[in-house]
Amino acid sequence: MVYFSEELRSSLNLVAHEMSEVSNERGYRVSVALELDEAFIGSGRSRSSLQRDLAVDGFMLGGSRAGLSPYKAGGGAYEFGAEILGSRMGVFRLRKARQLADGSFRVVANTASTWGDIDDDTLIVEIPFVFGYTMTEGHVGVVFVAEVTGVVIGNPGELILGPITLLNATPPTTGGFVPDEDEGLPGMEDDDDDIVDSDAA
Amino acid sequence: MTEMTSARVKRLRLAQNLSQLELAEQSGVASGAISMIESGAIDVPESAIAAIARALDCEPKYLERPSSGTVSTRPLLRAYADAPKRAVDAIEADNGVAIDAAKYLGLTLVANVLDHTGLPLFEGDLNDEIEIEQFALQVRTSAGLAPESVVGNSMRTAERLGCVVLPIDSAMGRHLGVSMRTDDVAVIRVSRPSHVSGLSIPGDRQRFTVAHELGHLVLHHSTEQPRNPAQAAKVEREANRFASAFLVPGDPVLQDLSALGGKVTLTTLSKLKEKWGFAIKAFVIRFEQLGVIDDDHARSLYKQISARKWNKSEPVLVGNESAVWMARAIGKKYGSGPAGLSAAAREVGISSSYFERWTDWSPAAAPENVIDFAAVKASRG
Repeated sequence: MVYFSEELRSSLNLVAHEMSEVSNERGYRVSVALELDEAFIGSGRSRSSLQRDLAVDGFMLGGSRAGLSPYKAGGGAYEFGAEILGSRMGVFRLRKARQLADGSFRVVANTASTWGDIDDDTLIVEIPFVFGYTMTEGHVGVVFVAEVTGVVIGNPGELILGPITLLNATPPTTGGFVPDEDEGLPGMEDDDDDIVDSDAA
Repeated sequence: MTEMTSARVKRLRLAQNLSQLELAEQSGVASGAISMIESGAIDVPESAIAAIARALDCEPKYLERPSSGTVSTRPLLRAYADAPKRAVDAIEADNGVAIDAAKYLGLTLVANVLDHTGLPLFEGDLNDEIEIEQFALQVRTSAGLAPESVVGNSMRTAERLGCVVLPIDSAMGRHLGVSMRTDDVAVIRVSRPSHVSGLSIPGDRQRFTVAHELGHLVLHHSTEQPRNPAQAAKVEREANRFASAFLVPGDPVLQDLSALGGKVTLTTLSKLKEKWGFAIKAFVIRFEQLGVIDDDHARSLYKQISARKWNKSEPVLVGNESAVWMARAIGKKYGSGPAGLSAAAREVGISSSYFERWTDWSPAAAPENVIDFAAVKASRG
């Protein structure tokens, strides 16, 4: 079990929130773009690809804002590194996931989908993590991180995930608006006695 | 019996939401006689006046007193058919009773204190939405609001503009408020909150309703009753545009949006709601009006609102408001609280229940014949 510091957890939540925000703000443009030509909706790949591009944009934006310095890795993957408890380096790679009926997550992969190793220069152990997200009705749904503990070989294969840490893509709204009941009314305050007994309209 | 007595009987009967038959049953006077009394066709003996007065919750002297004969405009209601005529008539009559009583007591109207010439009235082109926006800013200024200020209390703001704001809890179809002029006094009636979950009115809707009705009063003072649904929809759109600009003026809210990062998302709208007391869904419309988002973006936000079930209950609670003019004006003359209301009622010659109804903004209790399923479910855990 890997534990994240409060600071890292907060940064991860910020990335998740930014992904959600970008998706919620601009997700509709996927449909707008696909309507430009009927060929775009033939295979369904265009939609998936455009949605991924938005997720990547949110991931990069949020990662930068959180000071995690995200980058494009080999094979078109996007990831960032962050120190996790135990003086080890986690390498968090953005991957789309699917949530199954039992609540677990499935991330498809092949044997080449492995990352994290021992950094040759620093000899720090890099632990692979998936920065996973699901899509719900065209928008980023659940966002989570999980250590990648292995790969199930197959076609397609899938990542074996350690314990899931759900991130708060949408922070709960706790505030409220309280009307100002102390606002005054001319002529009706306690010190307005001099003007109250004038004639009615 | 004078013509004015006839008018008082009819007005109080309507205000009490009674049919002629119901008044006849409660007073023991024949229903045909009630009809003739109200039309002034017959004189009635003193004993009948006493019985009718009892049924109408007033003293005979109230019915016998000459009336100034209040004159009221009819409210402009969207899809008029969905608001029961009897409910509209009851509110119109109740307004007449309230304003007549206020004048009889010599209650000081805020408009007189401020030496108002009356509400600012729109004389521009109702087809020009920019003109309506600019006029809303003028009305804000008249109410003493700085350009960037949040409307802290919409009812108090309307009262400062000289409106009389009174509560309603009768069924008005989809309408949460109604406005009209009664003896040239601008009267806004707004639903008060309720303990019945389905009938409760969130604070943001209450605020929008007040601003919307204010919009009708200042924009449609010389507009004829809509003759068809399209015309009715147009006057509603105009009042909505006024209400949006009045509660959320363009420039300051655009600055707020920019300070929040400029993204029009539900998260941002929730934060803006917290500051402006304006519904998230209404903000979608507002930003579309201001040209910040397009139709596609607005549709996307509506879908997200729907997916989160925010159509029924939005996050970020906005508190309910209450109007204070009548209670305070009576308090000045007769003392505050129930004793003051009773003294005022005795002076006018009507039951204090009338004054309690006009000043009570506490959440309405569930009628005895209503079962609140949500409450039952909650009590069962």
